[in-house]
Amino acid sequence: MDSLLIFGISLFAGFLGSILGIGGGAVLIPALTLGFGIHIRYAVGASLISVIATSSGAAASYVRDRLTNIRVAIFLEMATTLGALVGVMISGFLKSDRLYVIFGVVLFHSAYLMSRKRENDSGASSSPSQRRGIEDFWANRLRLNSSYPDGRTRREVEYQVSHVPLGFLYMIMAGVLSGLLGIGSGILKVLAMDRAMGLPIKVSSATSNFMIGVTAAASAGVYFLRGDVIPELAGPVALGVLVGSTVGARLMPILPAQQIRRLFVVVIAGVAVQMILKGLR
Amino acid sequence: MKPDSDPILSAEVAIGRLLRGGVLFSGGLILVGGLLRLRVFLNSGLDLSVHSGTPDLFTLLRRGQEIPNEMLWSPHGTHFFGLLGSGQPNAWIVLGVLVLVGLPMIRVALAGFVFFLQKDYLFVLFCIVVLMNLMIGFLSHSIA
Repeated sequence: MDSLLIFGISLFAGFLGSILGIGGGAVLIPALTLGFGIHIRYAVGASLISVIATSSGAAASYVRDRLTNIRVAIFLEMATTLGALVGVMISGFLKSDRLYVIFGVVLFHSAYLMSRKRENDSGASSSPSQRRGIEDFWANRLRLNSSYPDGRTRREVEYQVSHVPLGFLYMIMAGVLSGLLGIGSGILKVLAMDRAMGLPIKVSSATSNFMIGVTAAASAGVYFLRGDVIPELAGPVALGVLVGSTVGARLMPILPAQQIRRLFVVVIAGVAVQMILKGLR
Repeated sequence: MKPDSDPILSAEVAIGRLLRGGVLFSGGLILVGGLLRLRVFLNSGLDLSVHSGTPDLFTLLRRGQEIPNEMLWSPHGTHFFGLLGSGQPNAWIVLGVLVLVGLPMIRVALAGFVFFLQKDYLFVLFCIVVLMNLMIGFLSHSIA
């Protein structure tokens, strides 16, 4: 196992993951397992570390732009960290073959969501939820509603948070997947906040970035104590994904992200099927 | 609340900078380990295709270079730092990884402190719950 090669592939995974918006782990784990034949538990351990690195590294810029909703993040982290612990526990009982299958299914679903994202990306599609239902009781009670400065107009955009209990349940699910598969499960988190809870997409992304690090930290400890965080693997992976995702985020505005996404959605779906097949073999 | 005079925001920005510094610091530690490894040998010759159960943490730390056992279990509990001092690559990488894993905990703890200053005790409690979940993960050998 060559550390430099691992570093290189992690760099690519971090880059691609940030361009595609599915995070480094989703690309990294298939690359390590299918490409290098590394056992999925070691790949998961290393990936968790890289998720934490990406999350903490990007925190400063998101916070400076006042996009992160700390209150929503802390509230929902109770759910994600709990879910992560459950996920880790389940992974202890599951056979590794099952992990491949579950990973494949989740990845395939992500690819499906990616392909649909195109249509919704045009303009400000995420309609601010103005529904005043019984759920808003929690948003008011916990003072989750907030505002963020719009990048172009420099005006404050106020937003209401809704469906708080539903979002909380989603986050337990996201946490379970994170602890089980070593991914940030950012797609699911953004989905829950954007679609279910009615947060603006930019706020959802920034808040999700905060949450994936905390979620991953909850399960990273267990993986570490289990001996599944192999220094020779986790070191180059963390560095590679960190550098790759930073470069990816910088180049995002210049690159034709739509075309790349269209191209890779097929690749990702194919990889997902490969993972499922490997698990079923 | 005016955005300019928002005390939470300025605290959060400081926390954000701290986190970025922490990531760079841990990246540096991992890099030191990597460079030490390059010095020893490029290819670790590890076979990671089979899951070999739970290796002893100290086997993990020592791999790649033989360290006398006496040093590992010195009475003052300084074995880990001994490994660092002797330039053991894995010890440096593990230290970097531990710093990295600690960063989200620090972030939640500092957020809790800010809530405390605002007398928002419900959210202080939320932060404590999150921290407890994180601790459970890190302290439980027996969870799975």
